[in-house]
Amino acid sequence: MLTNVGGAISAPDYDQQGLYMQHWNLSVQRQIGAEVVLEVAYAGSKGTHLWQNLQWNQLPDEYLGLKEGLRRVIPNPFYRIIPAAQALGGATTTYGQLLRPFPHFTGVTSIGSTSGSSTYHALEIRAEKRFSRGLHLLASYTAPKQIDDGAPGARIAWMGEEPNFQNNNNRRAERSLNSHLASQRFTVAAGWELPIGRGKALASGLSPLADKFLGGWQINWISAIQTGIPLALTTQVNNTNSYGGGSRPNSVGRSAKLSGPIRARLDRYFDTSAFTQPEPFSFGNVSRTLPDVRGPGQVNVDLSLVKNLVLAERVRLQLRGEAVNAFNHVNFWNPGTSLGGPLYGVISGAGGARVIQLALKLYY
Amino acid sequence: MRLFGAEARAAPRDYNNPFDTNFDMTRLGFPAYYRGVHPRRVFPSITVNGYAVSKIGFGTSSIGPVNDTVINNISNAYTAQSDVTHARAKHVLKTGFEYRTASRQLHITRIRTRTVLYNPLGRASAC
Repeated sequence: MLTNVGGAISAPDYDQQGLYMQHWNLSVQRQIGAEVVLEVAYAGSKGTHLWQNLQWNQLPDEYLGLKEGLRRVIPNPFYRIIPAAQALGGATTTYGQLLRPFPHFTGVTSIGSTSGSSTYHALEIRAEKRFSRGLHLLASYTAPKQIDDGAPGARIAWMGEEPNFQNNNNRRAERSLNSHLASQRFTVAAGWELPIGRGKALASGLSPLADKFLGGWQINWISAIQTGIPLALTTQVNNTNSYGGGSRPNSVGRSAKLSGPIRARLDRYFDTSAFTQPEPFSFGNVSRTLPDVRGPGQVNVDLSLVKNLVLAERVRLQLRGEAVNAFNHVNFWNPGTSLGGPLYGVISGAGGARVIQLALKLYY
Repeated sequence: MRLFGAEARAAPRDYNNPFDTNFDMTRLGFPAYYRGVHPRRVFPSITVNGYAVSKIGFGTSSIGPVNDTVINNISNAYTAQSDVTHARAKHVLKTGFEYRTASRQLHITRIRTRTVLYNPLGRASAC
């Protein structure tokens, strides 16, 4: 096989197993009064043969014991066989490179190997007030937990890359909390037509002119409050010399979780001294995502105030004021998680500030 | 009151996959001589001169496949689910199970570059 010999190759995994997900749930619903429904549910899920990109050209673990010997520079047996322009086309190479499973490539990646798995359990509580007397309300609370072994290379646009594997030879050790899932999430969506004006509960005796100003108001509320997502630590410098593996810190054996207001610990969000750089030629012992330290929680409330004005039978004017992040809550980003990097433990930004927009619509 | 539900769905395989080999681009309305210019019978990779948006199509700067790009294509998906609902007075008790499976063909494009300039008045020229 000479495709891009001396460089990196990747290809879809030919040996595809059938991916499957199993979901199960149990819920109890109870009606309260005439208009409110309360539901408590358990939901579970198990994923099998999930897609992952795998690096097949990592040094077998036993060779890490050779330590400095891996870095020894020796004559390259592929010299003049591999094109000189390629990374491995030089006159010399390292001992470690020649011990890789495919010594004539820098990386050998399979795309979409069906080797991943996941488990998910969640408590879901939901209360809904059906629309009546101008008000509807839906509130839901979810407490999920997902453990999986990751999907390196996968990307969720606003959350970034999935953390990479540290040791491709020991993928069991990658099992940890899902890197994108908050542990608790509470949402409320509500709409309320104010009961003021002609035909409403209050001030129904308004004159038609006064009703044009005081009647026809509606308030809508959408909010989401959630805890942060687990932090995934790496090290700025990869001293493992594993030729294809990643590097994570060692834990000194205590939780790095700190408490107190986030603003007071923007420069040290978590206890940065709870982790150390592993010895060269060894892997760190923290899990892919930390089980106990999550990023800052997020609070977002969107509000809108709508005024409907009926001008004629078929002509209606609507004035809308909408505010995204209406209370201008500062939603801090996750701190830097690269041990030894300039932003390690430091929160360097925050999500969007309040945005207000006004709109005037004429329906006819 | 007790209700039982069950459902099974299958998404059929797409034999008309434009990213497969042997895709006949004349089906898209391209003239037949385009087919002769292209070394392989696949969906053509189209870039628009002067169009500078960096990410269109499949996350690339061209419409259609780009050389050495994996295009995921889920070709078979099956879902089966069953549930039971028990309603009594003010309570509804529900439980269910669902099974989903998907298999995919992964396509990695290997297009040898041939540029075909579109000329509305005459024949296309290959370069």
